Amino acid sequence: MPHEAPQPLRLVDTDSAPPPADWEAVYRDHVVPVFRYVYARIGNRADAEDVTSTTFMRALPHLRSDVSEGELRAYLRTTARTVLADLWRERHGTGFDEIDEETMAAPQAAETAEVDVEYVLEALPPNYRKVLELRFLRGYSIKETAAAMSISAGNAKVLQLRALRRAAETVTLR
Amino acid sequence: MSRTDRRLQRYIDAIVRDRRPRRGDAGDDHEAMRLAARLHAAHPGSADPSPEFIDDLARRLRNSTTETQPQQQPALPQRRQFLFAAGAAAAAGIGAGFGIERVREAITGSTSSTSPQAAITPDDGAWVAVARVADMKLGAVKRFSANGIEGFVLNANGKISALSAVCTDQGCILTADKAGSQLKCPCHYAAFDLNGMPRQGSYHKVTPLPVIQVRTNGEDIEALLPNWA
Repeated sequence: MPHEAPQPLRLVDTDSAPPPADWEAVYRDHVVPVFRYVYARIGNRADAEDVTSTTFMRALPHLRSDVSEGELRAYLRTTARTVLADLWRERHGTGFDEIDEETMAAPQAAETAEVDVEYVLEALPPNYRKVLELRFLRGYSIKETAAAMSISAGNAKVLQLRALRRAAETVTLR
Repeated sequence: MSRTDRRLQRYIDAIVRDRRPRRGDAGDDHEAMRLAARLHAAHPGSADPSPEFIDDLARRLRNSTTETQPQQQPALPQRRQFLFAAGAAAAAGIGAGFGIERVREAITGSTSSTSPQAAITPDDGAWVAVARVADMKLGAVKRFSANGIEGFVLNANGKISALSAVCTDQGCILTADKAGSQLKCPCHYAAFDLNGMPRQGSYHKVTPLPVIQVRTNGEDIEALLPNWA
């Protein structure tokens, strides 16, 4: 059967956009750790997105091109903390800024979060640990938590508050 | 329950549902509130930004930096750079397959890789049928596995092409998402567009997927693969 000699149909275009400006590389390298850092402190996605956005909007125009990686991370963290504290103050009054500043060396906020959590939960009585695990780590509703622990919904509510307050006494969160 | 209890309760309810707490929720229990946020963030998979958010913020940053600081930031690309995979692209001709999608990407910068895209060029190659022309309708993305190569044949914007299906991060095998609009890595959050370019928002920095050369031969689409005969 005659057919045309095989020809390459098309080779995928190998052109690419020009190299990103410095700020964009910085942004891409740091947006995930900054978001995690913020999320672990504000606890919901909508606020975390707002705080992350404001952080980069504020920080990027002031970037020098010769900062070290460590300085850059510290600078972004500090900016993020300032934005977090502003939001917290606006919504809940004081309570955020009196925290000591020294977590800048932690490479990944989420790692810090996980270490804290394990440490916190281990120190608790079993039913306290259980209610916090179900509610927060697994995202169970009060109803589901109550069913899983064979207690009433009212008791589950009270238990989670007690457990959370007890746990909060045992740690200093950064 | 006391008033303080009810306020903390409301705060916890918001956090567990990943919603914004309202002003006044939680009262003065700041340590407990902050711990609630920390515990919630440890919920597996909940603490990462979505690729959509990352892309969107990149766009907003680009707009604001070009508006407020034109002297420091380059404007949109004035000229496109063409980087060709070694010896492979000459036949394609500059501009071939230059679809709307690529123009859009060039403008928005939704792909941003500085690495040139390699081509798989076996020393001893053979043209191997990997798909049927009839099966490669517009938008089709088909996986193939032949002669030691894992790949995709794609019809994006009416052009047939082929890409390696091996993630350039850690070698995991990519899968096409349901919409057939991107190739996703099961191991991390890496994702590639149908040109093999890393999607912005990929968690890991990855290089583009290597191109595999393809041609039609009658009813078949053939790829240039290592010769295993």
